This record gives sequence, structure tokens and C-alpha cells, in this order.
Amino acid sequence: MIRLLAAIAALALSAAASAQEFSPDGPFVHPRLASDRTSVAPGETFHIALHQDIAPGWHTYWRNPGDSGLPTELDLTLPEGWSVGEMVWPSPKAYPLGPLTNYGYSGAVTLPVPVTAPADAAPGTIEIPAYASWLVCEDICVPEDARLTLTIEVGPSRPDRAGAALINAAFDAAPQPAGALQAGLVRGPDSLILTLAGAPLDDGADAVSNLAFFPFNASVIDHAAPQRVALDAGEARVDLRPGRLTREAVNEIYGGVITFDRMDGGEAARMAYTIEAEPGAQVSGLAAAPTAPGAAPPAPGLDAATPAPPDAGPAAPAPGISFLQAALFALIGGLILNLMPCVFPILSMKALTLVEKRGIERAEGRLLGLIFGAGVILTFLALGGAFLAVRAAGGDAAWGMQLQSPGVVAGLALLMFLIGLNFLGVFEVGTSLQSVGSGVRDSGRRGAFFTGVLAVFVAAPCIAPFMAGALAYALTQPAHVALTVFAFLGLGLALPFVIVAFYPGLLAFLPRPGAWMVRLRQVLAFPMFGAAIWLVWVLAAQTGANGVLWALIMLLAAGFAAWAFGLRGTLARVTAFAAALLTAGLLYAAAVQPLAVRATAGADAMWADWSPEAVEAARAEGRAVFVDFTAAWCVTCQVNKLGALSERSVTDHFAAHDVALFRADFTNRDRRIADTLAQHGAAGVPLYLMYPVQGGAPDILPPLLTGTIVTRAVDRAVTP
Amino acid sequence: MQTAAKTISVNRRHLVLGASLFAATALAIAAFTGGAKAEPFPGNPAPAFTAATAAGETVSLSDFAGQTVILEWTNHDCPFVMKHYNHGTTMAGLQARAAQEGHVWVQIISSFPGTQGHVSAERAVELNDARGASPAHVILDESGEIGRAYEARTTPHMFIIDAGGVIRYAGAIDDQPSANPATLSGALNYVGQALDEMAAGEPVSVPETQPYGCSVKYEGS
Repeated sequence: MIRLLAAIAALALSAAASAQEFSPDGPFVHPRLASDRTSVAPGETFHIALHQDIAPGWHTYWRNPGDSGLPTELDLTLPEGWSVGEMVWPSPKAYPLGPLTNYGYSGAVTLPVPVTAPADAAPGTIEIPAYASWLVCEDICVPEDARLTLTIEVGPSRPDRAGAALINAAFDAAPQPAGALQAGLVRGPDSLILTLAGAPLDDGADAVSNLAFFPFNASVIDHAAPQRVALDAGEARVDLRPGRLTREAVNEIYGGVITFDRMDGGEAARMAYTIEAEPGAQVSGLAAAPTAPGAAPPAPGLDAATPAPPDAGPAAPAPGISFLQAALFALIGGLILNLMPCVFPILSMKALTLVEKRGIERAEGRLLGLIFGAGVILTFLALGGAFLAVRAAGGDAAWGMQLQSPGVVAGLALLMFLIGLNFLGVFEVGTSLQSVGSGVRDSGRRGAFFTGVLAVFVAAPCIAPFMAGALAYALTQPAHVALTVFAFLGLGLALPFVIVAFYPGLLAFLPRPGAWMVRLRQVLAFPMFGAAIWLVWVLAAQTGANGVLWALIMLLAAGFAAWAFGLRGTLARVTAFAAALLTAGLLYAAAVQPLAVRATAGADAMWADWSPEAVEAARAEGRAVFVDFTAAWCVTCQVNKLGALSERSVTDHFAAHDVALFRADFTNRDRRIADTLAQHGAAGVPLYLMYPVQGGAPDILPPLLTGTIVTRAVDRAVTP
Repeated sequence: MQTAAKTISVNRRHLVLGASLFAATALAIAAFTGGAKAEPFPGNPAPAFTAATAAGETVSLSDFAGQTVILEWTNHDCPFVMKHYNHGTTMAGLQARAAQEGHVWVQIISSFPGTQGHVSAERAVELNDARGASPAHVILDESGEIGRAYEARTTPHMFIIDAGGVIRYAGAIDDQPSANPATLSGALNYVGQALDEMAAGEPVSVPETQPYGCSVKYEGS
């Protein structure tokens, strides 16, 4: 700090000392050479600098001049054996010129280059000729140059005090080397997102102001576009308008300088750090800063072509992924879903259809595959559309939301139960359709489409934990982006089956049809019943015992209806129809059960009910805070709750460090929980937050916990 | 026979279905990429404009549909422009070539009145005559409207628009960002190269570069 103040003082002094007369006809820069040595020892590295006194109102340029201009150049003609290094550039200032922006210096600037004398340099006086050239601009630009000579001794090393003061000031005004600030640069949907993390930003917006990014390369950003800065403790996010090289994506490391004013003991100090921005990375989860209402209006003209993106809303999460990554993750996530336990029953059903249809012609198989794929993708798009509609209506759209409605849960339980009965052969759907004469093909096609639809619906609860990032991203994006991500999720889920449909050769890996198929089908009924039990359990958490009672009676009626449907004769059909009506009525009864408030919360004495105020209060007491965002319908949440979070080592660790434990139950819809999830970039539960003792942003734990993950997080949180 | 016919009909159907599947995905992606307003970058449609020329005519970009159009932002007092007009013949040479090949060269002066490079219509014509320059049209864009639409930043700043109205090149005149006339020899002229490639029916190998020069003297600069 003192060094920096000294630097500023030295700069001011040098400016004052050299307050020179400038002719209105130029030159507009008075150049001279300076060195930090009057005498340099053989083998020593010292500095030679070009010092420019710049006419008032004029400026010369930084290494990246911005939208126009040229960087200053210095060519030294050194004796044989001498070597020169890279120019040291003091941090620049931005000079707006209408809709354009330049980066450079006004008043005065010193540009040092390191020079090394050879170990065998002969003692004596040497002259170093230099050619310096620069562009100096006010509202017009003038190229200027100068031939200068520096005279220096080779002998015992002796400082040049005046020269050293200038050069040290230049070093102090130059950015700190890369490393102190981690940086990532990623092409967001509406902006280029630069994220920063590191100790220099520790005091957040309280102490840091006027943060700006100066890229080394002139084609990385639109220099004139406003830089929207969001700040938090130890991190920052800058939304930029991309330049030529970053318009589509960020593919390489771009360096640059971050400058900001830091309040330190009541005084603002200008700080500057070199960064090397990791391509495609986000090192901070901060949301974009809103377009500042009171800030300087964007430069008229150039920016008017692309108005700043509208703020996505107060709780816009900022997941660290770009559009393409989100689409890719969605595709991979969709593929993984095929292996998930909650998709498994449906997958088996698909496999079963496939085996049964083995005799059919190849083209028909392909058609079925494509219909299935269409079913999956269209359902995903429909779900995505519904989410967007709900979001537009201001509701809380979190993935798995449909399972927060008791009606949907009861309906799914009914569906699972009926599929199980069908597998057991209680009634047949396909045969009756066949007998009606619509043909096996159509029923097969309809079935394929329906299977696709069902696969998505049942997969939903699995998607949240594995796809939180992509979904949070999608749900905060403009509709077309969100829908594309949804479509890719569907594509991933459908792909394996479609591939098998197109390359039936893969079928050779499936077992041959036979009597075992009937047994397999019957066996697969039991996972269906299992899924129904799970759904009824979710219902229990949502509506309590009454809801479960209505749901079970509904299943009874449905079972009766299915059995009657399987019989021959008119009476059976009428009975079946009546029972089906009864089922529908009971489904309604189950659906309208009042929601049980926090039915599962408070079950564990260690855990308190979550609220933002409770978390604040615990933190104010200086305690570390752990929050478990959970829901009864979230399998991963339950696995963690009964597993890692119940481990003796974990509970002991919590107790030993006096960690305040809160559980936020998202089984039923809750606006505050949805907002908090969104703030942390999560689309749904689970979300685990570990708030450190010393304040600041919480640590976000992975969705699948282990005891070690939790205890380590506690250790980090309590270590000051 | 019947089976074959059935297979064909099924094939057709599955083709239709497959096509619509892909169309849906493509549509979603197109909605994403096409959602943004076309910006003045290579590959995008060139922003339309209508303006009065120094010769007193009114021209629109659409008048030149079917022809290659070259836009040159200029400011006769800018040292970078002077390098190419007064110390060398880069611009005059290219303008002569463009005229010969049936291209339309449009010189645009976006300097706000009172700023460097702002000239009257008569002076603009005189300047070109004195420099041996032969642009097809000179547009005095005092308001900077055309300059802002193209995000013209420097003088010179060059654009090539193809017969279909699509920007094919945007950026510097050559690869020597300097006002020093010594850099004229051996420079790679990006505009000349792009015109060669377009004439040969090839894609433009360097479609966009960082323009260099003086800032365009817009209002408020």
C-alpha cells in the first residue's frame, strides 16, 4: 500500500516536475529515456524506460489500444551480447470516444523494459540508441516518433535515483502477476461472462469499486460496451459484450488486467492484477449484475444494436455452464437416465416390447424406435413449455414440481399399479385393441409413443439431482434456449432405444424369446408395485394418513376394475366401467386432500426447521450452519439422509463443532425454498449448503454425499 | 409385391417422422441462433442503408443487389488513411480494380460536423480527384448512423458485401497496423485477398480482422 501511494506520489511529482509547454502544433509527447542505473555491472539486469510527458487532453496507448490507436513501441539498439525483455505496461485507463473506447495513458507514463548486460561486458561508457514510436490522440491522432540515446557506464552497479523513482513507480502501477485472482471466461447466452475469485476481492462490494477488465487482445471484448459487475466476498462476475474472438465460444486462454479501487482504512487505493482467464470456466457462481439503472448509459449507437439483456429476475441463478455445455450435459444426462432406478421399470418395459416385437420387420422396428423417440422428446418439450408457462406466471417451477401435487402423485401410483396388474396378466390392453381390429401395428405405435411419454414422466425425480446444473441453466434462459436443453435431455433418454431400433443387430445381445418372457413380464410387475409404494409414501408425506387411505381405496377400485375388464361379457364390462369411474373419483379425493405442512420435518431432534432468518441468527452467534434441502419424493435426498447424514462420525462431527443443522423440506411447494435453491443455482433438491463460521458465501456440497465429504466441509467451515 | 409396397410406405413414413424429429431439434437450435438481431459480422446480412452521396444522388444498399459492394470508412486527415492514399496507392488501386470488375466501392465519411475528416460534398470529390481515388460513391454520414449500424471503429475500416447482401469481410485494410508508410511494402491486403477468393468462388479465408487506425469521429467523441 505504501509502495503504491509512493508510486502515485512519484507519478504526480514527475508530472508536476515536467509540466511542460506543449506547442499546439505538436509534438504532443515529450519523450526521454530513463534508467535505474547510472552504472551497470556485467551480468546485471536493469531497466531502461521510455518516459512520455503527454500534452493535456491527449493520450498514448496501452498494449491493447482498444477500438483504435496503436501501442507505443520502443526499439533499443543494444551492443553485442546484451539482451532485452518484455515491456512493463502500467495499468491503463479507459478513454471513451463517443461510441468507441481506447485504453491508454494521459499526463505521463513510464514504460520500462528489462535489459541484461553480458557477464563479459567490457567496462567503460556505452551509448544505447533507441527508436521510439507511438500514436498520440486527442480527438485527432498523430503518429510521433523519436530517436533517443541513453549513455550508461559498465562498471560497479550504481543506481540512478531519478530514473529508479520513475521505473519503480511504473512497476507499482503495473498489475500484480497472474495467480492472485483466479479467472474464467465463458460465452453466456447474452454476454461474455468473466468470473473472478481470490483473496484480493475478499471484502466484496463493501471495499471494492470501479472494477474493470482490460484484455490484452483487442478482439476479446467490445471495449465500449458497459461492463456489468457483480461483487461478493472473494468473487466477482463481469458481464461483457463479446468481441470477434469470443462471439461463438471462448476457446483459448485470454489474459488481461483487472483494476479496481479498494477502500483500505478510509482511503481508496488503485489495485491491478494480471489474470489468465480459463476458457469455458466459471470460478464464481454469482448472478449477473442487473443493468445498472443509474449507471452511465451505454454508449449510444454501437450498443444500441444489442440492448443489454433483460435481467432474468431477482433469483436468477448463474450456473457455471454455457449453452453448448448445457446441451451436452443434457444429452449425457438423458443417456444416464436410462440406467436410473426410477427409469428402470420403464426401461424394462421398453426392452420387453422390443423382445416381443422381434419378429416384426425391420422398417417397422425403426418406426417404433422413432415414435418412441418422438414421444420422449415431445414430452420433454411439453414439460419444458409447461415449466416456462409456470415461470412466466410467476409460480415456483422447480424440477420434480409435478410430484409436489398430490393429484399427480396419486395418479402416478395408480398408473404404476395398473402397469403391474397388466404385467401379471390381470387384463390385456393390446389384445383387446387387436380384437377391435385396429391392428397390431397401430397399437404398437401408440404404445411406443406412450412408452416414450411415460419414460419422461417417471424419470423426472431422477433428473433433478443429476441435471441440476443444466436445468437451472435452462430455466433461467430465454424460452428457445430452455426448450433446446429440454429437447437434448429427451434425445439422450431416447437415443439408446432408437439406436437399437435402427441396428437390430444389437438385438443379438438380447436373449431369445420364449416362455421366460411371460415370467419376466410377471416379475417386472413387482418393481412397478414397488414404485407405487414409493409414490404412496410420497403422498403420505404430502397429505398424511387420509390421503394415503383415499389412494389405497383408489387402488383397490382400480384393481377391481382391471380384473372385471379382463373378464368376458357385457356385465363385466359395465362393472369395469363403474369401477373405473369410482377410481377416478377416489383419485380426485386423494388429490384434494389438504397438504400436510412439513409432515416430515422435525422428525430428527438434531435438525431444526429451516428459514433464512434462523440461518442468519445461527450465523450471528458465530456458528457454522449446515442446511439440507430435501423432499420426500427425492430418492437421492433420502439416501443421503439415511446414509451420510446419519453416520455416527458425521453426527459426532456436527456436535463437536456446534454446527447448526437446518432441514428445508421441499416435499410441498415452498416459495422461499424455491428462491433459495435458485440463488444457489440449483433446479431442485437435494442441495446441501455449509456456511462457514467467518461469514461469506456457503460451500455447496455435491448432491451425493459421503461421510468424508460432510466432515471435510465442516472442517473447512470452522477453520478461520 | 404387397410386402414390398408396405415396406416402402413404412419407410416413407419413418422418413417423414425422422425428418420431423430432426426438424423439431433443428428448429429449436435455429430459434436459438436466429434469435439475436443480425449484427454486422461476416456471414450476417449487411445492415441496409439509404443515403445521399457527394454527387447528389440517393443510393441504397439494395440498389446494388447482385453486385459486390465494398464499404470504406475514411477520414482524409487521419495518418492511417494518409498512409494508404498519400504515401501509397492501396485504396486508389483497389478502387480502380473494383470498378473494372464491376464492384461498387462506397466511401463513407462518418465524421461529425466540426470533427476531423468532416468535409463538404464538393471537398470530398476534390479530395478524391487530387488523390487519384475513384470510389463509385462517397457518402457523408454526418449523423454516424451508417457507421454505428456497421460498428465502424476506425479509419480505415473495410467491409465487403457479396451479391446476396451478406457481409463477407470486415476489418482492417491490411496486416500492418501502423501509420508508418514503410509498412506499405510487403503488406498482406485483406480486401484484395478476399476479392480474389470471392472471384474464384472460394470462401474468404480471413473473413474478419481487428481494424486499425484513427477512431471514427462520431458525435461526442
